[in-house]
Amino acid sequence: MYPLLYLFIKRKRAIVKGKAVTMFDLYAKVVKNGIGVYNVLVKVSYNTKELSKYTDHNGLAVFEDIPGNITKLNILLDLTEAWVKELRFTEDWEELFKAQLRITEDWEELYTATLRITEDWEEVFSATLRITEDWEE
Amino acid sequence: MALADWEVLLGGDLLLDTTYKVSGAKSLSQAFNGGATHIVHSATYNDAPKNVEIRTWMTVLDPDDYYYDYFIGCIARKQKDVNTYFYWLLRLRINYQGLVTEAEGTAGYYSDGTQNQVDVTDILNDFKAKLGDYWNSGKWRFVRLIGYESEGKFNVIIEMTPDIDTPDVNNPPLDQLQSLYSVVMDIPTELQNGGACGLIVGGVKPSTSYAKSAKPFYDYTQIYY
Repeated sequence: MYPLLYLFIKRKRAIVKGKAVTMFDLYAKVVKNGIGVYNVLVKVSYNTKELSKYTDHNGLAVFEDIPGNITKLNILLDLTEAWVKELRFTEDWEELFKAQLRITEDWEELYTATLRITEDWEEVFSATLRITEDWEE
Repeated sequence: MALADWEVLLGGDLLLDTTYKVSGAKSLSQAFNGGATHIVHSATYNDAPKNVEIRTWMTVLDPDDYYYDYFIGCIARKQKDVNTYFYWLLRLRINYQGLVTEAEGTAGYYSDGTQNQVDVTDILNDFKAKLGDYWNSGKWRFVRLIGYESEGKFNVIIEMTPDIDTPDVNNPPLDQLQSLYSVVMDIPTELQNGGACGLIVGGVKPSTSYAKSAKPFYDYTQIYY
Protein backbone atom coordinates (compact mmCIF):
# COMPACT_ATOMS: atom_id res chain seq x y z
CA MET A 1 0.00 0.00 0.00
CA TYR A 2 1.36 3.39 -0.96
CA PRO A 3 1.43 6.31 1.48
CA LEU A 4 -1.61 8.56 1.28
CA LEU A 5 -1.48 12.35 1.33
CA TYR A 6 -4.24 14.24 3.12
CA LEU A 7 -4.48 18.02 2.77
CA PHE A 8 -6.40 20.29 5.11
CA ILE A 9 -6.81 24.04 4.78
CA LYS A 10 -7.51 26.34 7.69
CA ARG A 11 -8.80 29.71 6.52
CA LYS A 12 -8.01 32.81 8.55
CA ARG A 13 -8.24 36.59 8.33
CA ALA A 14 -5.18 38.71 9.04
CA ILE A 15 -4.52 42.46 9.21
CA VAL A 16 -1.61 43.41 6.97
CA LYS A 17 -0.65 47.09 6.92
CA GLY A 18 -4.06 48.03 8.24
CA LYS A 19 -5.91 46.02 5.63
CA ALA A 20 -7.82 42.79 6.24
CA VAL A 21 -6.66 39.95 4.00
CA THR A 22 -7.61 36.30 3.73
CA MET A 23 -4.86 33.74 4.31
CA PHE A 24 -4.76 30.07 5.08
CA ASP A 25 -2.63 27.44 6.77
CA LEU A 26 -2.01 24.26 4.85
CA TYR A 27 -1.79 20.96 6.78
CA ALA A 28 -0.19 18.13 4.80
CA LYS A 29 -0.45 14.71 6.44
CA VAL A 30 1.17 11.58 4.98
CA VAL A 31 -0.20 8.27 6.25
CA LYS A 32 0.56 4.60 5.51
CA ASN A 33 -1.49 1.80 7.06
CA GLY A 34 -2.90 4.26 9.57
CA ILE A 35 0.54 5.39 10.79
CA GLY A 36 1.97 8.82 10.06
CA VAL A 37 5.03 8.69 7.80
CA TYR A 38 7.99 10.54 9.23
CA ASN A 39 10.55 12.57 7.28
CA VAL A 40 8.66 13.01 4.02
CA LEU A 41 9.85 16.18 2.29
CA VAL A 42 6.75 18.18 1.32
CA LYS A 43 7.39 20.85 -1.31
CA VAL A 44 4.79 23.59 -1.79
CA SER A 45 4.96 26.24 -4.46
CA TYR A 46 2.69 29.08 -5.57
CA ASN A 47 3.34 32.14 -7.72
CA THR A 48 7.14 32.47 -7.43
CA LYS A 49 7.30 31.19 -3.87
CA GLU A 50 8.76 27.75 -3.00
CA LEU A 51 8.50 26.22 0.46
CA SER A 52 9.61 22.84 1.80
CA LYS A 53 9.27 21.06 5.11
CA TYR A 54 9.74 17.54 6.52
CA THR A 55 6.81 15.72 8.13
CA ASP A 56 7.02 15.09 11.88
CA HIS A 57 6.52 11.76 13.69
CA ASN A 58 2.77 12.02 13.10
CA GLY A 59 3.33 12.47 9.37
CA LEU A 60 2.35 16.15 9.54
CA ALA A 61 3.88 19.23 7.93
CA VAL A 62 2.23 22.64 8.39
CA PHE A 63 2.67 25.63 6.08
CA GLU A 64 1.34 28.83 7.60
CA ASP A 65 0.18 32.12 6.13
CA ILE A 66 -0.30 31.17 2.51
CA PRO A 67 -2.03 34.06 0.74
CA GLY A 68 -5.67 33.50 -0.20
CA ASN A 69 -5.49 35.16 -3.61
CA ILE A 70 -3.30 32.63 -5.40
CA THR A 71 -4.68 30.77 -8.40
CA LYS A 72 -2.64 27.60 -8.19
CA LEU A 73 -0.94 25.62 -5.43
CA ASN A 74 1.57 22.88 -6.32
CA ILE A 75 2.42 20.15 -3.86
CA LEU A 76 5.11 17.51 -4.33
CA LEU A 77 6.19 14.73 -2.00
CA ASP A 78 9.77 13.49 -1.84
CA LEU A 79 9.87 10.05 -0.18
CA THR A 80 13.64 9.54 -0.49
CA GLU A 81 14.30 9.97 3.24
CA ALA A 82 10.84 8.95 4.44
CA TRP A 83 10.52 6.46 7.24
CA VAL A 84 7.69 4.19 6.19
CA LYS A 85 7.02 2.55 9.52
CA GLU A 86 5.08 -0.69 9.92
CA LEU A 87 4.55 -3.13 12.74
CA ARG A 88 6.85 -6.10 12.01
CA PHE A 89 6.93 -8.17 15.21
CA THR A 90 4.88 -8.50 18.38
CA GLU A 91 6.45 -10.38 21.26
CA ASP A 92 4.15 -11.70 23.97
CA TRP A 93 7.02 -13.74 25.49
CA GLU A 94 4.77 -16.76 26.10
CA GLU A 95 7.01 -19.28 24.31
CA LEU A 96 10.27 -18.21 25.83
CA PHE A 97 11.13 -21.42 27.69
CA LYS A 98 10.21 -23.79 24.88
CA ALA A 99 12.86 -22.14 22.82
CA GLN A 100 15.53 -22.11 25.51
CA LEU A 101 16.43 -25.77 25.05
CA ARG A 102 19.41 -25.50 22.73
CA ILE A 103 21.66 -28.44 23.68
CA THR A 104 20.85 -31.90 24.98
CA GLU A 105 23.84 -33.62 26.53
CA ASP A 106 24.07 -37.37 26.95
CA TRP A 107 26.50 -37.52 29.84
CA GLU A 108 26.95 -41.33 29.54
CA GLU A 109 28.61 -40.90 26.25
CA LEU A 110 30.67 -37.96 27.46
CA TYR A 111 32.40 -39.90 30.22
CA THR A 112 33.28 -42.70 27.86
CA ALA A 113 34.67 -40.23 25.43
CA THR A 114 36.87 -38.45 28.01
CA LEU A 115 38.80 -41.63 28.87
CA ARG A 116 42.04 -40.79 27.14
CA ILE A 117 44.95 -42.47 29.05
CA THR A 118 45.24 -45.82 30.75
CA GLU A 119 48.30 -46.01 32.99
CA ASP A 120 49.95 -49.19 34.22
CA TRP A 121 51.36 -47.84 37.49
CA GLU A 122 53.42 -50.99 38.19
CA GLU A 123 55.49 -50.31 35.18
CA VAL A 124 55.86 -46.60 35.86
CA PHE A 125 57.21 -47.09 39.38
CA SER A 126 59.67 -49.68 38.20
CA ALA A 127 60.91 -47.35 35.55
CA THR A 128 61.37 -44.26 37.78
CA LEU A 129 63.50 -46.09 40.39
CA ARG A 130 66.91 -44.84 39.39
CA ILE A 131 68.99 -44.36 42.56
CA THR A 132 68.90 -46.17 45.85
CA GLU A 133 70.87 -44.46 48.56
CA ASP A 134 71.97 -46.31 51.68
CA TRP A 135 72.77 -43.39 54.04
CA GLU A 136 74.40 -45.68 56.62
CA GLU A 137 77.28 -46.23 54.32
CA MET B 1 8.07 -15.77 18.57
CA ALA B 2 10.42 -17.27 21.07
CA LEU B 3 13.76 -16.69 22.70
CA ALA B 4 15.41 -18.60 19.87
CA ASP B 5 14.55 -15.58 17.73
CA TRP B 6 16.56 -13.29 20.00
CA GLU B 7 20.33 -13.00 20.05
CA VAL B 8 21.85 -12.08 23.41
CA LEU B 9 24.75 -9.68 22.83
CA LEU B 10 25.51 -8.86 26.45
CA GLY B 11 24.26 -10.04 29.85
CA GLY B 12 21.59 -12.70 30.22
CA ASP B 13 19.69 -14.48 33.00
CA LEU B 14 16.40 -13.75 31.26
CA LEU B 15 13.38 -15.67 32.47
CA LEU B 16 9.63 -15.83 32.23
CA ASP B 17 7.57 -14.72 35.16
CA THR B 18 3.88 -14.88 35.97
CA THR B 19 3.91 -12.23 38.71
CA TYR B 20 2.86 -9.35 36.47
CA LYS B 21 1.68 -9.36 32.86
CA VAL B 22 -0.35 -7.15 30.54
CA SER B 23 -1.05 -9.90 28.01
CA GLY B 24 -1.17 -13.68 28.15
CA ALA B 25 0.16 -15.59 31.15
CA LYS B 26 3.79 -14.50 31.36
CA SER B 27 6.10 -11.55 30.93
CA LEU B 28 9.83 -11.24 30.32
CA SER B 29 11.92 -10.76 33.45
CA GLN B 30 15.43 -11.36 34.72
CA ALA B 31 17.07 -13.10 37.65
CA PHE B 32 18.17 -10.80 40.49
CA ASN B 33 21.27 -8.74 39.74
CA GLY B 34 21.48 -9.99 36.14
CA GLY B 35 22.77 -6.65 34.79
CA ALA B 36 21.88 -4.90 31.56
CA THR B 37 21.00 -7.46 28.89
CA HIS B 38 21.31 -6.49 25.24
CA ILE B 39 19.13 -8.51 22.84
CA VAL B 40 18.29 -8.15 19.15
CA HIS B 41 15.64 -9.93 17.13
CA SER B 42 17.45 -12.19 14.67
CA ALA B 43 14.86 -11.80 11.91
CA THR B 44 15.55 -8.08 11.74
CA TYR B 45 19.00 -8.80 10.27
CA ASN B 46 17.24 -9.72 7.03
CA ASP B 47 15.44 -6.41 6.68
CA ALA B 48 18.34 -4.45 8.22
CA PRO B 49 16.31 -1.32 8.99
CA LYS B 50 18.07 1.99 9.47
CA ASN B 51 15.31 3.40 11.65
CA VAL B 52 13.35 1.68 14.39
CA GLU B 53 10.58 2.23 16.88
CA ILE B 54 10.04 -0.28 19.68
CA ARG B 55 7.09 -0.16 22.02
CA THR B 56 6.85 -2.18 25.19
CA TRP B 57 5.08 -2.29 28.53
CA MET B 58 7.25 -2.23 31.64
CA THR B 59 6.76 -2.61 35.37
CA VAL B 60 8.95 -3.34 38.37
CA LEU B 61 9.04 -5.34 41.56
CA ASP B 62 10.52 -2.81 43.95
CA PRO B 63 13.54 -3.99 45.98
CA ASP B 64 12.97 -5.48 49.44
CA ASP B 65 15.59 -3.15 50.93
CA TYR B 66 17.77 -0.19 49.92
CA TYR B 67 17.53 0.32 46.13
CA TYR B 68 17.94 -1.35 42.74
CA ASP B 69 18.76 -0.12 39.23
CA TYR B 70 16.35 -0.97 36.38
CA PHE B 71 17.08 -0.66 32.65
CA ILE B 72 15.04 -0.07 29.54
CA GLY B 73 16.68 0.77 26.25
CA CYS B 74 16.97 0.15 22.54
CA ILE B 75 19.48 -1.19 20.01
CA ALA B 76 19.65 -0.32 16.32
CA ARG B 77 21.80 -1.14 13.27
CA LYS B 78 23.44 -4.19 14.88
CA GLN B 79 25.82 -5.59 12.27
CA LYS B 80 25.91 -9.33 11.70
CA ASP B 81 28.68 -11.32 13.47
CA VAL B 82 30.22 -8.25 15.09
CA ASN B 83 29.23 -6.22 18.15
CA THR B 84 28.74 -2.95 16.32
CA TYR B 85 25.48 -1.11 17.04
CA PHE B 86 23.79 2.02 18.42
CA TYR B 87 22.31 1.89 21.91
CA TRP B 88 20.33 4.23 24.11
CA LEU B 89 18.79 3.51 27.50
CA LEU B 90 17.35 4.70 30.77
CA ARG B 91 18.70 3.66 34.15
CA LEU B 92 16.22 4.17 36.96
CA ARG B 93 17.21 3.72 40.60
CA ILE B 94 14.18 2.89 42.75
CA ASN B 95 14.19 2.33 46.50
CA TYR B 96 12.22 -0.11 48.66
CA GLN B 97 9.37 2.41 48.97
CA GLY B 98 9.10 2.81 45.19
CA LEU B 99 10.72 6.25 45.26
CA VAL B 100 12.75 7.04 42.14
CA THR B 101 16.05 8.40 43.45
CA GLU B 102 18.08 8.47 40.23
CA ALA B 103 17.18 8.66 36.54
CA GLU B 104 19.81 8.78 33.86
CA GLY B 105 19.78 8.61 30.08
CA THR B 106 22.74 7.16 28.19
CA ALA B 107 23.44 6.90 24.46
CA GLY B 108 26.30 5.80 22.26
CA TYR B 109 27.47 2.94 20.12
CA TYR B 110 29.60 -0.18 20.20
CA SER B 111 32.27 -0.55 17.55
CA ASP B 112 33.50 -4.15 17.29
CA GLY B 113 32.76 -4.60 21.00
CA THR B 114 34.33 -1.33 22.15
CA GLN B 115 31.88 1.00 23.84
CA ASN B 116 31.77 4.65 22.75
CA GLN B 117 29.54 6.57 25.11
CA VAL B 118 28.32 9.71 23.40
CA ASP B 119 26.05 11.12 26.09
CA VAL B 120 25.07 10.70 29.74
CA THR B 121 22.40 13.00 31.16
CA ASP B 122 20.83 13.21 34.61
CA ILE B 123 17.09 13.42 33.90
CA LEU B 124 15.79 12.89 37.45
CA ASN B 125 14.07 16.27 37.90
CA ASP B 126 12.36 16.12 34.51
CA PHE B 127 11.41 12.47 35.06
CA LYS B 128 9.74 13.24 38.40
CA ALA B 129 8.05 16.37 37.10
CA LYS B 130 6.45 14.42 34.24
CA LEU B 131 5.83 11.02 35.79
CA GLY B 132 5.77 11.57 39.55
CA ASP B 133 8.11 10.57 42.36
CA TYR B 134 7.18 6.91 42.70
CA TRP B 135 7.06 3.73 40.64
CA ASN B 136 5.39 1.12 42.81
CA SER B 137 5.46 -2.63 42.24
CA GLY B 138 3.13 -3.89 39.53
CA LYS B 139 2.27 -0.48 38.07
CA TRP B 140 2.59 -0.81 34.32
CA ARG B 141 3.97 1.94 32.12
CA PHE B 142 4.05 2.13 28.35
CA VAL B 143 7.46 2.89 26.80
CA ARG B 144 8.35 4.01 23.28
CA LEU B 145 11.94 3.94 22.02
CA ILE B 146 12.75 5.61 18.71
CA GLY B 147 15.96 5.75 16.65
CA TYR B 148 16.05 7.32 13.21
CA GLU B 149 18.36 9.01 10.75
CA SER B 150 17.66 12.54 9.66
CA GLU B 151 19.92 14.98 7.82
CA GLY B 152 22.93 12.72 8.29
CA LYS B 153 22.56 12.31 12.06
CA PHE B 154 21.16 9.49 14.21
CA ASN B 155 18.41 10.69 16.54
CA VAL B 156 17.30 8.69 19.57
CA ILE B 157 14.29 9.26 21.82
CA ILE B 158 12.90 7.57 24.94
CA GLU B 159 9.31 8.21 26.01
CA MET B 160 7.29 6.79 28.91
CA THR B 161 3.79 7.20 30.28
CA PRO B 162 2.82 7.61 33.94
CA ASP B 163 1.27 4.57 35.66
CA ILE B 164 -1.46 3.00 33.54
CA ASP B 165 -4.05 1.45 35.87
CA THR B 166 -5.83 -0.65 33.24
CA PRO B 167 -3.31 -1.48 30.49
CA ASP B 168 -4.86 -2.44 27.16
CA VAL B 169 -2.36 -3.67 24.57
CA ASN B 170 -4.87 -3.02 21.80
CA ASN B 171 -5.18 0.62 22.78
CA PRO B 172 -1.68 1.78 23.72
CA PRO B 173 -1.77 5.15 25.52
CA LEU B 174 0.30 6.98 22.93
CA ASP B 175 -1.25 10.30 23.94
CA GLN B 176 0.13 9.94 27.48
CA LEU B 177 3.75 9.42 26.44
CA GLN B 178 6.21 11.91 27.88
CA SER B 179 9.56 12.54 26.23
CA LEU B 180 12.30 11.85 28.78
CA TYR B 181 15.53 11.66 26.82
CA SER B 182 16.74 12.53 23.34
CA VAL B 183 20.18 12.74 21.74
CA VAL B 184 21.47 13.48 18.23
CA MET B 185 24.59 11.49 17.33
CA ASP B 186 27.05 11.54 14.47
CA ILE B 187 26.97 8.32 12.47
CA PRO B 188 30.33 6.51 12.38
CA THR B 189 31.37 4.84 9.13
CA GLU B 190 30.74 1.35 10.48
CA LEU B 191 27.12 2.24 11.28
CA GLN B 192 26.12 3.84 7.99
CA ASN B 193 24.13 0.75 7.03
CA GLY B 194 21.02 -0.66 8.64
CA GLY B 195 21.07 -3.71 10.88
CA ALA B 196 19.22 -5.73 13.48
CA CYS B 197 17.33 -4.03 16.28
CA GLY B 198 16.26 -4.94 19.78
CA LEU B 199 16.04 -4.07 23.45
CA ILE B 200 18.12 -3.46 26.55
CA VAL B 201 16.42 -4.94 29.60
CA GLY B 202 17.31 -6.05 33.12
CA GLY B 203 18.50 -4.66 36.40
CA VAL B 204 21.47 -4.57 38.73
CA LYS B 205 22.10 -4.25 42.46
CA PRO B 206 24.39 -1.27 43.13
CA SER B 207 27.38 -2.18 45.28
CA THR B 208 26.14 0.19 48.00
CA SER B 209 22.74 -1.52 48.21
CA TYR B 210 21.79 -4.47 50.39
CA ALA B 211 18.73 -5.40 48.34
CA LYS B 212 18.13 -9.14 48.04
CA SER B 213 15.20 -9.18 45.65
CA ALA B 214 13.96 -6.97 42.82
CA LYS B 215 12.84 -7.58 39.24
CA PRO B 216 11.94 -5.69 36.11
CA PHE B 217 9.13 -6.95 33.82
CA TYR B 218 8.50 -6.32 30.14
CA ASP B 219 5.52 -7.47 28.12
CA TYR B 220 3.84 -7.09 24.73
CA THR B 221 6.81 -5.67 22.85
CA GLN B 222 6.24 -4.42 19.32
CA ILE B 223 8.88 -3.60 16.73
CA TYR B 224 8.16 -1.07 14.00
CA TYR B 225 10.42 -0.12 11.15
